[in-house]
Amino acid sequence: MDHFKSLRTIVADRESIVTEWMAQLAAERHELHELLGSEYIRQQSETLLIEFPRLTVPGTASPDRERDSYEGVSRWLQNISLRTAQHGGSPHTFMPYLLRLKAIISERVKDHPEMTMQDLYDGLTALDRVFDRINHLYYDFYLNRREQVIKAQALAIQELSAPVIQVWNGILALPLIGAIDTQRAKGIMENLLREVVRTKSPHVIIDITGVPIVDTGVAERLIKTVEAARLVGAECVMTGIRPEVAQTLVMLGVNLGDIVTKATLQAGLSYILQRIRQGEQEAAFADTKILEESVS
Amino acid sequence: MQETIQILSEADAIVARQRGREIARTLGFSIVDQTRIAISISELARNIILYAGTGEVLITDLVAGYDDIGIEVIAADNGPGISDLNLALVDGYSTSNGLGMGLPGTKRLMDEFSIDTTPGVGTRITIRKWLHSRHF
Amino acid sequence: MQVPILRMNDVLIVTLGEDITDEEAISIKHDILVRIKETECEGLLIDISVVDLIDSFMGRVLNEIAEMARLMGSRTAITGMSPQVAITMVELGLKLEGVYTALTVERGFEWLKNQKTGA
Repeated sequence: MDHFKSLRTIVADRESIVTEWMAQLAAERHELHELLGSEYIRQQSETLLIEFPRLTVPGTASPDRERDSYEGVSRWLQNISLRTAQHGGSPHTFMPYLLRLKAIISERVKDHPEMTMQDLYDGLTALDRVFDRINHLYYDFYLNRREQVIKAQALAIQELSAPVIQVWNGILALPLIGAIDTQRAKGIMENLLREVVRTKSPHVIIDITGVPIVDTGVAERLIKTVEAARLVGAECVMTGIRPEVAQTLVMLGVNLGDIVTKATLQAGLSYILQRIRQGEQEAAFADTKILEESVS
Repeated sequence: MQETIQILSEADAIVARQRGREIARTLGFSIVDQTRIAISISELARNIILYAGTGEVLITDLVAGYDDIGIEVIAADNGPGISDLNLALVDGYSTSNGLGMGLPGTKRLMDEFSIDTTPGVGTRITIRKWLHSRHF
Repeated sequence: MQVPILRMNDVLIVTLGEDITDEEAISIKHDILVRIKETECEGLLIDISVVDLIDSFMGRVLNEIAEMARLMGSRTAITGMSPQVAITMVELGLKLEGVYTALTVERGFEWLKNQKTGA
């Protein structure tokens, strides 16, 4: 027997349900009204009631049919929950609005003439289960969206925590802050190399003062970054190696290879400036040499 | 989207990696990821020529979950197979005159890597990369 | 496809194209060595700014060129490698040994010039 039939008959009276629903929301000055506007809410509520008769009571139809029957409501939930979220609403705003409809329908089930006790029980149980399913769908969307927002924020924080700064003509600084996992290391490397090539900077200072733990994994990732920078034509100096970091690196037997390291950013910068001066002198010397050769 | 490239000579390795790069670009992969994918295809195709003589590379796009897409490359041959799989995945190991970074290197470049090999029957290597790499 | 090898002062300059076949790579290697012998240049500059990928084969060819050039008394600078090529080379585990890498042709050229004076 279809327990949902009585519900369908009741919901068919769309006009009067929507009117009652809207009146109740207006009376209690419901937050959703203020957020989205009463006209929009009325339209949305009507749409939901049009979709409502298509629903099946969970567990009474094949999974495929059940899923299909909730497709329209799913879309509706997605739209309105997104809109609610965009206007700063939360489940606390949205759920009372939806549950108001459930209350209205159950009232009408009770008032329905020619209802046996059994019919009443079945009808209300069916109503419960349908609304449980709708709640479930709503929270799915809500959590999913939350997760997306959190991911996007994590990404933004990641980018913020590895800025590439041009400290001097031809010198970039990369102050690293926070833990460095493989995924983040990849992002840092890509970003740094892009900046090196864009600004044509042959010198890079990687400062790891803000990296809490430098273990074998982190060291390996830093070494790869230095190697890749060298391939595009930039020389890296690593600075900000704290005493305890130096200690761990030695204890772990991590070999930073031929990477130049300095205790502080300042020391790194003065090392690079000295290298640049040296290079200029060499170049000047080479020029004189070539000039002498061509004259002789 | 699915494409099969017959690998008969080194020139086919280049065709395969170019196609792989194009498909990766169409799917929205970054330039670095496109290069990771292309280089992996190049290494696998070269392995086919080196060890089996001929074979094929199959490139397919993938869809997963709500919003993730990826690319799958299968390199298959009917060659001698790999007798010691663990050894083949060690950096620097090579039975030919390659530099021995083909397989371990490819593994590092991609998100997923699996080998199905039977000595005397052939080798089938499947690699995948996801747009939002969180599937591994 | 013949790749032109230019000479500027005492430096040979080669620009590699986008997608080089294996045969082309091998013939470029050969041509470079012949030119080093002919010109007795002490510097070799290979610009790879348009190369979109270096796999283990291409990496090996570049290392061989540099090593053979060194044996013939010439230093090698490779210039203009793009970030994606550098990143994938490192991830693959490829190294360029005995090669100076520079951001631009100018910087590579400058370095080779300085090497010559033994500075």
